[in-house]
Amino acid sequence: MELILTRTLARARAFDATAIVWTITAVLLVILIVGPTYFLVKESIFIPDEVGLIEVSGHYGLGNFIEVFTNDLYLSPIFWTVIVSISVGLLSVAVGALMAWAVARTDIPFPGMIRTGALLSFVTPPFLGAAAWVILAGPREGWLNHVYRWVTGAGPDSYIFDIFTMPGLIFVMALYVIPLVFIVALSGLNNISSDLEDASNIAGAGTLATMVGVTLPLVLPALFAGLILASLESMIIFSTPAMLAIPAGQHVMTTQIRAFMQSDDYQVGLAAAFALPMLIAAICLIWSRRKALGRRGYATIGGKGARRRPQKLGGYRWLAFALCVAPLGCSLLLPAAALGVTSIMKTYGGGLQLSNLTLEHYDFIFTNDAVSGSIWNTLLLGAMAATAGTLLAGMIAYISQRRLVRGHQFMAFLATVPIAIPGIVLAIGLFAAYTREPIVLYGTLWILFIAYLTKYLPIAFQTSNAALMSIHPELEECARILGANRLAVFAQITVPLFKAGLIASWILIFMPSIRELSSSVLLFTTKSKVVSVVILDFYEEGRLDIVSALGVMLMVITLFVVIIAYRILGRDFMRT
Amino acid sequence: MATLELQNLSKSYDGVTRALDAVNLNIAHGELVALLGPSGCGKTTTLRLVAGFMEPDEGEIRVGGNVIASPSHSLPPERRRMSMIFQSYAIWPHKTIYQNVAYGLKYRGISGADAADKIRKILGVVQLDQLAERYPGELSGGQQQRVALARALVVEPEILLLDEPLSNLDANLREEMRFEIRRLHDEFHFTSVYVTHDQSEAMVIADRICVMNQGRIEQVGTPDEIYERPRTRFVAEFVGKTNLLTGALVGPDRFDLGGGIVLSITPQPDIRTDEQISVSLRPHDIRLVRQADKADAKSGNGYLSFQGTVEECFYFGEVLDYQVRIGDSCALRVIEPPGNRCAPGETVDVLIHPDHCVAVRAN
Repeated sequence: MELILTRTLARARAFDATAIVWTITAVLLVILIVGPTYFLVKESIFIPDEVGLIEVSGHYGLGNFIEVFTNDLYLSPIFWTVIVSISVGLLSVAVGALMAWAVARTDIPFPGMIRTGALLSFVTPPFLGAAAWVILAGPREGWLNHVYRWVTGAGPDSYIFDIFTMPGLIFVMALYVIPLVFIVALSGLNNISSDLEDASNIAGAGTLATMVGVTLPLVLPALFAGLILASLESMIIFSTPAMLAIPAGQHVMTTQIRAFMQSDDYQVGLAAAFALPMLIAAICLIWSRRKALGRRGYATIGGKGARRRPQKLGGYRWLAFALCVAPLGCSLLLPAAALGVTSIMKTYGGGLQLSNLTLEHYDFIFTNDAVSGSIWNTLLLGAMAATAGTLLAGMIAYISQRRLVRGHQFMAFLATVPIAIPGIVLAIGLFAAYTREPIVLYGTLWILFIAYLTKYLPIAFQTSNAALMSIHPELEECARILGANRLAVFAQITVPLFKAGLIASWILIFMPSIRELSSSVLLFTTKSKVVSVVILDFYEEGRLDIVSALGVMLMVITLFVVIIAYRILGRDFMRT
Repeated sequence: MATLELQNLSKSYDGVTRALDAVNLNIAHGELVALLGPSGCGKTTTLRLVAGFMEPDEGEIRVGGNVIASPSHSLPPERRRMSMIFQSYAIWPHKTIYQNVAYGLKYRGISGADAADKIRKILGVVQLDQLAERYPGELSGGQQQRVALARALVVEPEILLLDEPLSNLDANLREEMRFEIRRLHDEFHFTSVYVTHDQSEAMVIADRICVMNQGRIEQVGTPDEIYERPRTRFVAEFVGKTNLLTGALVGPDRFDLGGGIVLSITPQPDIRTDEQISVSLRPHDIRLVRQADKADAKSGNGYLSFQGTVEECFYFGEVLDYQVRIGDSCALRVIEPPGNRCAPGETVDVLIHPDHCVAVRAN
């Protein structure tokens, strides 16, 4: 007894002020993650007695689920979501993996250019790609159809391309998922030493036998991971289906959720019931990806110093190059051209003549109060979310690696949980949590801030964690034994060494935040609009010229950030 | 006087197994003691307890008679006036060599010309004065090691702790730095604790060696004592090569190996006859005499002679390494200088001196 008492006293005396900081961080994290999840589940089983009010009486039951999963109207979006996800997944893995193989293992010309192109198309907002492809392949005014008519002399109503179809949707979605698969597969291939392949050759296997027997099984986990990531992305994306599938008369799950939320009667319950299975599917996908990568951990054996022996493609070099560049051209060059040209034309379809050129659309976006306000909101939110997220993620990484509080493993887990929460699902949870007392944030920028912070916390955490892992604890211990206390060590040793990681995680939050749509679309109000939502508004009004001007601006900002990131951090900053 | 006393020190990480079990050790002012043992023996735990990165579950740590750590009260590392040299060197990559060395002085209240003077002097001692403005990234492993030494020494610590400081260096440099560290200790005489798993490092550097195993101290003594008079089977095996002979004590100085072979051994006063003991006999303390050279045999100097058969012989350049069998059950490893090589199958006389037969606890 006495021993316990003296120990407790010792703890109390050893208590240092930094413990408060750690505790606050832990509490914030729990509120951030557990809050919306709790309200999402609660809404899904809440059946209001009266329609149309937020604060209503009601009871709990499974009615929402029964409604959503028996009504044909709602089953069709589920069906199409599955079809589209699998199609996009397979298509992008086929293309992305071949591109990665060509870049990593053959003497294809300009591999660096293909890598850079993939990175740039990775950071391009998909909704700009969708808008651009409407300009390029819309059935009536699409440039490609104009070219078709001009070449064949067909009548003004005939067309061969129609982007407002399911194949069109799959095509455009795949364009922006391919770079993701490419990056994953490339790192998988780069981690396999050529020695493993050489060993197979020495043992008597030919090139093809080696590829099938050695290389393929080794990259299989990476390919599987790529397939899952691609399917997941396609399942949770809102913008592209909203722009292409809805005009085609078809909902997918994400667009159906928005329809629930925007309907006149209060259908948050249906939206939540619709979203929960999506959340579960996402969790399963993430889990199976971890499982696949974890079990085949040896895919990363080999290391950087591994010698490369490129496959000679001979006469097919340029063909391979053309095949690799084609998807990048479709996701980057053509859309950039379409948006750039449309943004400076007086009338859409008026032709590219001097008399039809104008800067009025740019003038409009910077002078119209609502639009310029949304630009300001976007940049402010991006900077706020990036700053807060960097600090929070950095803290969590520090706490979990230095084991500063009990349950630090749980904190690290919580920080990566949002990876499995689709943006639109998160938005329902936040909407339900913050539209009522005690905390009403709906209608302010704060709810968007929380959405962005939560959504991009995992990427910031992983970046910080990796950066911190390279700081040996002995660097800190050495400073302590020489006389510095914990806080001084943190400021003088840890933070300076941690700087590059912090900058990287700031950029990795800022970049996706300024183009975020799937959460924003449920959480904005007229007082709190952001650029992506404004772009969607103008798109739905048919104002492709304004969309283009805003899109060009967004791409310029993104490019600017990417260049800064390259300058500060070097080529590898997007490894994670 | 910076004496360091560990009294009854225990530490457990999981609450069940003891990483450190009731360790007692007194280190005199200016003495360099090496903690030697395999990984997991508790040597690093001991060092981290002394440094203050952990708190003891039981026992006390005293410096100059003042308690600095006990279960109820523990000074944080920054208030212990110690220095430590880490396995990874822990040189801060964002500071120049000069700034690295200057860091601790600031916290000892030394600045300005005094500090500059001390830093210049210590960098001279470790031969780095030309590199003061460089960053660590531009330095070799050996140079980084010297920076770590300079940074630890410049603050004139009451206690200097070294955690396997040479284990990341290549073999040649490691040998060179051993002598360097001993030279610096002879110059500055800081009370030092040196953790290592390398016995020859401990032999060269330490005034006394403390051999640890499974959280306990096996034996503390000068390098000669540890090597020539090991107390336990573990110490005899861990420090140097040895033949461990099993058998039964049949008198205070008689050890029966079975098969009619009885060795004379040096009696150990603290080992009782009813204890399980083994006998340690170093391979190069044994002499082989070929039948043809019997006339030169030095069996007169107290050596006992046994007849044996050479089973194997390996040539190592500087030595010959034999496997010799005496009697039915006893195989001995014998190391001899080259020349006059015995062939496998040859019958030889095996000469063993009672002084070299050390009784050790069999534990």
